Amino acid sequence: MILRVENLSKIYRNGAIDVAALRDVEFSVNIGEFVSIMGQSGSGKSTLMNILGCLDSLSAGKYLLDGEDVSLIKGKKLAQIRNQKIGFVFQSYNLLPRLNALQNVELPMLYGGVRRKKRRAAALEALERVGLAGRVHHKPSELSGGQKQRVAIARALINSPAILLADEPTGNLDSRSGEEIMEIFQRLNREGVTIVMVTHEPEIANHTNRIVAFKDGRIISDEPVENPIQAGS
Amino acid sequence: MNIFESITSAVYSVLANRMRSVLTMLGIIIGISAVIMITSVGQGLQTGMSEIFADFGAGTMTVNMRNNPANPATRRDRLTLESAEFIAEHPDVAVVSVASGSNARVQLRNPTETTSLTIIGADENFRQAQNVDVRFGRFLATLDVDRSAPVVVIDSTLARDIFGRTDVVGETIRVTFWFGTVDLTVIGVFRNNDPMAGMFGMATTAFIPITHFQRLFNTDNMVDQLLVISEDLDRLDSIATEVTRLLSLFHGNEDRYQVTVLMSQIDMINDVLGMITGFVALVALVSLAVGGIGVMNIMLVTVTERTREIGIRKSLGATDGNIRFQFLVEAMILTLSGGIIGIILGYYGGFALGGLLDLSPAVSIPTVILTVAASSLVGIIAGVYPAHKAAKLDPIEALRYE
Repeated sequence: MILRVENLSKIYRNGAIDVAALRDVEFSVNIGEFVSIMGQSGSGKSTLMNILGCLDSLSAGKYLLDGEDVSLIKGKKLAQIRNQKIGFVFQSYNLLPRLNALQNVELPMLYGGVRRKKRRAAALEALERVGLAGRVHHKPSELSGGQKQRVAIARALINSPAILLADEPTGNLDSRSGEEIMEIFQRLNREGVTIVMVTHEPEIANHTNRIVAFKDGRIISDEPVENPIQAGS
Repeated sequence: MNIFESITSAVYSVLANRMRSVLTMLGIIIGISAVIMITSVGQGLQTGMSEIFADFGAGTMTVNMRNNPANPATRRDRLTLESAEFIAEHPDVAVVSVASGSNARVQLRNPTETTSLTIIGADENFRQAQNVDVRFGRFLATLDVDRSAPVVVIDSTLARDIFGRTDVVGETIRVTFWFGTVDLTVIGVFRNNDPMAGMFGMATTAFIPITHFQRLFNTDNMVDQLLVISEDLDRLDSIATEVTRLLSLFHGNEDRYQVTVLMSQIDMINDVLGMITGFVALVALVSLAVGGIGVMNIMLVTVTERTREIGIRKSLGATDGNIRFQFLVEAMILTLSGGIIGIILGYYGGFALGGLLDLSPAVSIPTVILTVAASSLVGIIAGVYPAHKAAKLDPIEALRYE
């Protein structure tokens, strides 16, 4: 098991009223799984994703990542976990506009203290893995949406994280580019990468092996996908 | 992330907003260049002052009679050649010279033209009291004084004005005093070293034997001033007091003589100049502080503008420390490069200003080090708060920032 949350709650204070975004969520992900989290907006799926990505704190419960209770970790150590254990892919890519593809992909290694030469080699390899070997010196503004997202995936993969988290990775893309991204995810998953992906599109979710559905901050169903759609076939 | 990478990344950020960076640096540039310019000119002024006084021997003190309108001086109080001889007896006194001065006019090459000059009646010791740089002929000798010879030692500028050349030993000059005209034979030509003389259009100087001066002015054996030299430089002030006491004893009066130690004068003038320079530099430092506020302001804007970038970096594993350092380095690069540009501008500005004032400015290494340190410090101070603000941003909030 790579990831496990127990009795997870997240409560936002909105003035005098407490709003629970997540209530007593329990679920776990095994190594090698490709899980999609579904739900309408406001269902708490993005909140869960931010907590899983160690970007947000939880109000109650436990979050075990790679055997470690990260709900107790703060500061520098937490930054290290974000750096080493988690690869995050955002809906809006979140590339740094002033850096080229290669430099963007290098960033996590930069913060991981990896030397320049090694960093460069790893970044090139990661870009090759997502099919962007010919675009390494392009700035994000010179890339298409699908290409930008592939750079973001390469960046998420570079430190070989325990888990790849993707928050609506196809949300800003046309269906063809989205299909390409799913193809990459499926390939990475076959190569052993554990992926948790948030989406609200059933079509996209059907590319994964398991669907966890959220409503009002609770899990309403958690079922395997019988015959996942194979992207690109 | 190592320091070199942080610096490179910060340089790129600074260059990405070139216009803004230059404008931000301007405050620092003005502050630093003003400090450098002012201190270098101040230094040049002090050096210039020291050069003027260097014409006098280190242990020279001057003795003048104090004028007190309530208790006017009598003939008995006047300094004379005898007072000089009496003081010369003192074991701490090496040499005593005398001087009396008067304004006069001298005829130039063109007979209808004259120029003013200062005639100083002196003795053979005067050369020791004030470094007279004789180029041709000789200075006044004992024999000239004993015989009250009608001879003169003139300044090379005057020689050129009168004769069109400087080697004029043996020539005669015609000097007009208020009471009449006198011919004097040139026995020596000296070079005037006083850098201020030309600047203020000061009259040139000529030396004649004190005895001849006394005869011309009919002043018996009186002199205006004594020049006392002591070799005991550490005790000049107490020797000055002793000289005052002895003169009062000799003349049978009280509190009549003013003894001025030139070395203390130099120190005093330098102290005053140093204070003025320091004060003006302080004012310039205020502008540096204002420049620092400008840097802080821009850094705050930069942090706000780059909120999303900070969120992205944090989501990729940047620690608070990484973020803080990044912005701190950026602020420091702004102020430090502003400082370096300021030093260069101040250096040349100092020379330009020094050229106008006819003195040679000097930029001291400690000043440069100090200003570099000051601009770095301004950078750190101006950067700390914005950098802290950036470091403490919540990654989720920062990522949502549009």
